[in-house]
Amino acid sequence: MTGDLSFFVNAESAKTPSELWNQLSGGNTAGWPILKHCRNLEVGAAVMFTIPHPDGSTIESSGRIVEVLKEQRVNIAQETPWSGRIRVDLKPIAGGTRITVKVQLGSECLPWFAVATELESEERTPGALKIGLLAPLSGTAGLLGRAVANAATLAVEELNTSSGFGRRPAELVVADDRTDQGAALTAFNHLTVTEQCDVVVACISSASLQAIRPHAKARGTLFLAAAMSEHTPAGAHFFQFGETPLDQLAASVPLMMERTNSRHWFIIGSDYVWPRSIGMVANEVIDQHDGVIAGEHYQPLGAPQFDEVIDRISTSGADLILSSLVGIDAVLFERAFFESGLRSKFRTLATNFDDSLLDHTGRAVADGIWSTQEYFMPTLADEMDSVARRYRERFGELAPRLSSMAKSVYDSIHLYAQALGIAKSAEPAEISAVLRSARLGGSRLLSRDRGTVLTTELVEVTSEGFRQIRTDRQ
Amino acid sequence: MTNSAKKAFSAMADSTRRSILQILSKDVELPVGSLAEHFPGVTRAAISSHLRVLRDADMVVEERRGQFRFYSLGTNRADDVVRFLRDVYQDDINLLASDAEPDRL
Repeated sequence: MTGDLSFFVNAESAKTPSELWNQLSGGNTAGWPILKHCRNLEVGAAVMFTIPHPDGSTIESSGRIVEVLKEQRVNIAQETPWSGRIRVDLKPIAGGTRITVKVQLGSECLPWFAVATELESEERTPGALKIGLLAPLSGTAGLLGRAVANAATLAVEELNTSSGFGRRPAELVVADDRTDQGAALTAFNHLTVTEQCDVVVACISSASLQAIRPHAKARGTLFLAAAMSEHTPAGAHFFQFGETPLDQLAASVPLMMERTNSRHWFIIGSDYVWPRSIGMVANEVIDQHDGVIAGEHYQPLGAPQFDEVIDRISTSGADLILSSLVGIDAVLFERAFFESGLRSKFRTLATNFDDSLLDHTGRAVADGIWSTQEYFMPTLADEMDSVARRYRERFGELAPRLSSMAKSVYDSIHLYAQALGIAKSAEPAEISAVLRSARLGGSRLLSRDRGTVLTTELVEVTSEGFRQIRTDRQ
Repeated sequence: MTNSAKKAFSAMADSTRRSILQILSKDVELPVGSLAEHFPGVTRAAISSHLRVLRDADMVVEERRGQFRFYSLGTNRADDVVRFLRDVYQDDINLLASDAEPDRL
């Protein structure tokens, strides 16, 4: 790929390839940091790791194993924050093993650093429409970002091919909010001031939305918030298409109580505005259905120490858990909860548990968890909708699956293109007027933005992946 | 991050500039006209502008000879930009080789 950079690093070890392989396969101890959280050295296994940032912070990264040659090679496709490859080779030598790592940095790696350090941007095609995508590609929610970026890429490619943006081609400009309010504002400024994007499609936390909202309003940015949020109004050009807490809980909470014949809940979430909104709405819904709140806990984002709260859960008298933990925190909580031996004693309903998190948690560890979101990519190829099929054809079997957030971004970009076609102008006021009119019909995105409660899909983790529980939603 | 590395990151943020560096890594030096031939969709003025950014970051050096300016790779190379990442991966692999326990997530 043009612009890719690659380099090799080497080391020699007194251990045999077989001994080193056992270390790589062992997960937590004495291994290679890149595979520290990977328990199965097999093709398709998800990996997550951190690397230092030159500014002293850390870069949460993730990927997937794409090649395994026992005792010889592990090849990882890095997915976040940038794409690339990390390949480790073990070669026997006299007295031990030569270890070689080839690192290939995808072409967006250096631009990622440029944006993160507020430097100048890549130059673009003159006259092109610019679609800004603001998504987490690192930080606690970084695991969710590659599917979102992929979906945006697919939408822009398809619409360019079909002249869906009119006579102008469109370019996608991706910026990482790093699951951090300050970085989100930096990334938003990059998209709107430096890049002068015509629209910003965002798949970020409510905390980041809070930081950006006044700036988007003041600047008159056409802003399409595609991720789940509590829908706080923010002016004429600010649209919120994601699931609300009530969308997610109105039907799933009573159904779980009915199916399990249980009514005592422990609510756990990350400590910021959206999980707290989930908690507030959950209190009301649980109360309406004669349930009881046995405990409630909000964990600081990016502080995945769960021993204490797991002890609290186990002695709380609860038999149901509502989790709105996010990203890596959700993965590490579910792993810790499983290892505590409590999984079979509780049923968990999660509001933010998508395919990416399932891949990183592991199906055996997550078995029985219920998840509720707008969209889940069907597991079987013959059940897939056309978007899922095209997504899989474009990015392959080993790419992160099309998540609810990713599908929402895909749909948002298509909706923008439709509005653009009717408005015949890229001016935010013109596009907003079309989106706020009835001219685009019955889009679920627009219905949500207008405040209609639309219940979300409900699935359960099985050994085959997510299995649909309920189909009678609005 | 040093100022030099920041400038290098900025300069390397653009795909045309990365391609210019790749071309110059194969040829010892080239005038702007020869470089522009590699980019049919880009104006010569734009190539000159990219070269100015690369020169400011010390990633290329310019030498004027008669009516022409020749460009070659400068002292601040892409190697400098990726050096810290290479160090990270080198430290990681040393951990594996030495049996030490990783302390990162």
